[in-house]
Amino acid sequence: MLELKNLTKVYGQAESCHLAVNNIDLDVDKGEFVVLIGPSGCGKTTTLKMVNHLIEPTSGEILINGSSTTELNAVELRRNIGYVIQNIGLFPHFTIVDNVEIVPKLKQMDPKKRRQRTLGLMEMVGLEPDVYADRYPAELSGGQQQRVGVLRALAAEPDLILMDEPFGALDPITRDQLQTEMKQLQQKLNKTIIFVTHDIDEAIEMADTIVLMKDGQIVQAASPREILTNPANSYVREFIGEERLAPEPDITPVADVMVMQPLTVSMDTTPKAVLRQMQKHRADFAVVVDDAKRFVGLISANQIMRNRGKNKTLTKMLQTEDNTVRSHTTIRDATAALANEVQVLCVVDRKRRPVGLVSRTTLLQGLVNIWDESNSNAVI
Amino acid sequence: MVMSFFQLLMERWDEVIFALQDHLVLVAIPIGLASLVAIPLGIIATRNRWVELIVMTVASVLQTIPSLALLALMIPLGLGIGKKPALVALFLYSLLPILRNTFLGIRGVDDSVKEAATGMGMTQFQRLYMVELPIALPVIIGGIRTAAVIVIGTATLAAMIGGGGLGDFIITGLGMVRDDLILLGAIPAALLALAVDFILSGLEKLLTPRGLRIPSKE
Ligand SMILES: Nc1ncnc2c1ncn2[C@@H]1O[C@H](COP(=O)(O)OP(=O)(O)O)[C@@H](O)[C@H]1O
Ligand SMILES: [Mg+2]
Repeated sequence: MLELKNLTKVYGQAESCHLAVNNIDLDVDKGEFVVLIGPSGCGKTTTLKMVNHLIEPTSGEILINGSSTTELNAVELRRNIGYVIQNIGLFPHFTIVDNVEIVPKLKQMDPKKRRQRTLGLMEMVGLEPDVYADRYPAELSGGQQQRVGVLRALAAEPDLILMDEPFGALDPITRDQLQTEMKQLQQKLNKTIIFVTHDIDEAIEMADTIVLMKDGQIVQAASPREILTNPANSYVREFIGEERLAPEPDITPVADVMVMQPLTVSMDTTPKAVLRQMQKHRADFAVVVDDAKRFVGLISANQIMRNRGKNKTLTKMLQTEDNTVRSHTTIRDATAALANEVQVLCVVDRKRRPVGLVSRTTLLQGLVNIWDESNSNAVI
Repeated sequence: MVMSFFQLLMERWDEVIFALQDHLVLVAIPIGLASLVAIPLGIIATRNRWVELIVMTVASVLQTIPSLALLALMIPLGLGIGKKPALVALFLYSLLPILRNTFLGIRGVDDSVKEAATGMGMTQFQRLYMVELPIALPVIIGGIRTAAVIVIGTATLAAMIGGGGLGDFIITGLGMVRDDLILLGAIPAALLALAVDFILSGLEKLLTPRGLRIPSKE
């Protein structure tokens, strides 16, 4: 839907020139929620304003639905792109209704229809039309003004909406609420949104794609999940913050994800008794230990069943390989050790006493859990 | 003296009314013309740095010339004496307050509001008459008010170059050393200034958009 090609903006001339946006390429699909993020001055606003030609690019191209915007009439183009500016910028001498309706009015849409839509939009974001329609911006709280700013961008039903730090100056609670509303609205109306923020939590919460910028360039453009699990470089890691990063298979120990307190049985237990214990504990595996509680081997319910009636002792049925890992073994190494025929590894301490079990499933599930946890912490 | 003043006022009532009307003409025409010139110039100045520089410099220089000197300057400039040079001098004198207030009023519209206007897809002209002018209007009227009050005072000097108005009484009174004659010009001129100031400040409030009269919540 939107393509930026080699987009560059240089402010000033000659020696005093400043490369604000440096050769950016970006593809945005219809219905995609793209968040531009980066430290102050990295060129987010400049990039955004080039899309609706509030700023003319120095070079490069912007394509909307395949056609270049440079030949289009800028005024006409802007009427078809929703825009929420950084400092709200409501018209102070217009009522709320007139503010919301400005673009439909400029486009000379039917007055009755546009009024109906305006009132509907106001209701949708909890601005009771009976109360607020004829008020002025100065009579509204900051959060209400932000909502009006968003409605103004939506009123003419544009397919593409640009939002520049729209929730910047709000208290955290209002901000959270508006973020949720905005995301729901976007999904409901299937709008394409380019959203600028410098708040990584906001980006993770809202984005389909996060575009992380630095000094006018894109450092990484990927889904929040991808960025959290696979930050492109140390700059990205640092920007996201270690506390939000997903656990890395390379550094996370199995101790973080293993099933603890595995079922242990002594070597002289009868297979039948082991099976009963497995049933009782709903376990598929048991760790067989010697008198000193040290690891001897693993036995699965399946193995016992297969040997039924053969009158074998437990030790004869055991998987004899040394399927153990230490608790500090990384998830990556543990995964490698789980070769095809090995389903489960026993995590043992220094004295080879079992402390946990891991399977492929627990490793994966553990990773996901930790990721979710750090992610939800980040959002709160 | 108070008695003789009122006696004089009664005696010369018709003359006073006539001089007052004459004075109003000396004020209204320059202010009207200056508004027609200075408001557009002030708007253009906000759009173009060169125009801003030239226009503001010229207007400021004009304002620094003492009023009496400016009136007297009309004579060597070939305008002679009488109404015409007085009107021209007063016109020049009222340019700056209107120009400056128009410029500052429009320049003072919040940047984010201007950006929003353009960003929503208003043309330059739409932005001007839908957003900038309504918001700047009270400031512009304020400029006209300042100009009017200044010109009402300065116009009393117009009599020096034969411009007529209430200044005639004052000059005659000065020449004859008659306080009551001086007061006959000075008091109506002062009252006129007060009245015009009152009326224009009322207009200023009336033309302030409702949304701008509400004290902001922030
Ligand atoms: N009108 C301008 N003239 C000169 N430099 C500018 C202008 N606007 C922005 N810049 C510079 O360009 C860089 C990028 O600015 P901007 O896009 O506003 O960054 P961001 O929105 O990411 O904070 C900054 O270094 C800023 O100082
Ligand atoms: Mg910015």
